[in-house]
Amino acid sequence: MFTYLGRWIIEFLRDTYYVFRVIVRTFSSLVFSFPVGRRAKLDVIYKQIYFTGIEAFPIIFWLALMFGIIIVTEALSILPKLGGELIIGQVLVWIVIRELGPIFAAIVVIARSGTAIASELGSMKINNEIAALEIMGIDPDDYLVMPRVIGAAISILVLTFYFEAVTILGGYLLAGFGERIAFGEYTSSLLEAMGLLEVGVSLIKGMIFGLIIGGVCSYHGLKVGRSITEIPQETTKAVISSLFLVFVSSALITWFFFR
Amino acid sequence: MRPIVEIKGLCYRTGEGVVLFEDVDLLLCEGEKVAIIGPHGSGKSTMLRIITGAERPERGDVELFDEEVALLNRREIYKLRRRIGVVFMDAALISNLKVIENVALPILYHTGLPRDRAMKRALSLLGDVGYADDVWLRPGVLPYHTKRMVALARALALDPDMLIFDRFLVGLDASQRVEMAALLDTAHYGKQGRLTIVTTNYEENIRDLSLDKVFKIEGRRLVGYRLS
Repeated sequence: MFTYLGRWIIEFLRDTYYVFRVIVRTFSSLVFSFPVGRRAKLDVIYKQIYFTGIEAFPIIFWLALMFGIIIVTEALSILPKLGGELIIGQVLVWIVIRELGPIFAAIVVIARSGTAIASELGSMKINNEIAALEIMGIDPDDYLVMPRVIGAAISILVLTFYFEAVTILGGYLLAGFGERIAFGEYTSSLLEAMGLLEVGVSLIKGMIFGLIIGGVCSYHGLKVGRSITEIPQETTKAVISSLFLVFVSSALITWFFFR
Repeated sequence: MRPIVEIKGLCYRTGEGVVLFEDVDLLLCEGEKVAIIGPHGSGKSTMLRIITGAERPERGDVELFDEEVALLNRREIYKLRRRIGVVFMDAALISNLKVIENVALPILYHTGLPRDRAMKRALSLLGDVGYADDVWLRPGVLPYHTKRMVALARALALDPDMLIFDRFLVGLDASQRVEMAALLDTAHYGKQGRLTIVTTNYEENIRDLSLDKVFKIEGRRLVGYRLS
């Protein structure tokens, strides 16, 4: 039991270190090597934003709407009993903007694009495509990894904002409309509670989650060796590690800014 | 003739500890057409990987275009490889790019050419190798021979000084072999005979080829082979 746990911890720490290196390498590639092959890299970044961000809009919309209905309904049923309908804005900012918006966006991206990144890179490795790039003088870190990490970070940033907007507005329109609170009161309560810090932290979380997901999934994808059976194994590891690191970093950021 | 690849006293051991090459010398000069032959598993592809700097030998010197490969960092090796075109045994086309994008990729990446001109050049290269299908297909649906044609077009995209063709003619029928050999000759003449061509092959596949040198992997060494 202790041997297993010890091995798991060592493996996790080692993988986290390598993921950190992938993220650092991404920034170094972005700053120092971007002009080399700029057009080809931009193509990959646009594609990544399209697959991770734009194609996720419909699913994020429905999830956010359902989540908004739940939160607004619960809040409007509980708050009057506590005599504080007007703190609904505060509750929504605490729950949706500070915490769950970035986390929900990250979970959707892990499920849709994180798995795709890990399995695609793994299959490229097996099929010698990575070796072919290297032989063409194209660094896979610059051409494959950096655009995926940056694309994922930009996408989650946008999806986080989109999720929060749909949850708050859609939730009110579907669950709160005609209830005891008017739309004007609802929005003013929300705007009063929402400071620059809340919005800033929410977007910082989104961006950090994107870097983590892009880094973790690229790392595990490129870790695939010679056997095709390693692709699903590494993809599963990528999902688990991404989820774990997203929740840990979310807790750390919240603790740092709001303790 | 100017040396392109010069290997002296090379020893190479695989990751599993098996000694594949021992005290190997090799000299390839500009414009030469060379074949490296040997049975399956003898190290033909590994030798190509050593030549391109993808594998580091245990001992010995490898010089590529007058540069000592062991002294180059990652960036310098990548830069040097722009002068080499490689056709892999399995073609290794990038599966998420269309056929034309595969050929245009090295042009877009390494030259400042705008997209439309890179695409035109890719189209012309695909025409040169006789590719007749839809250029907007993904390579996964293409037959083996056609994939290798596309890979050859990609390898020629940056007008390389050396073309490496792994398992040349292997897995092709008689007419495809004639076609592929003619393509290689055309590429050679197209560069006024200055293109160095290195292929790996099995002994039975080289009889009808016009080659300047043939090396056979025998007893962990490269020995000159006389075509009978």
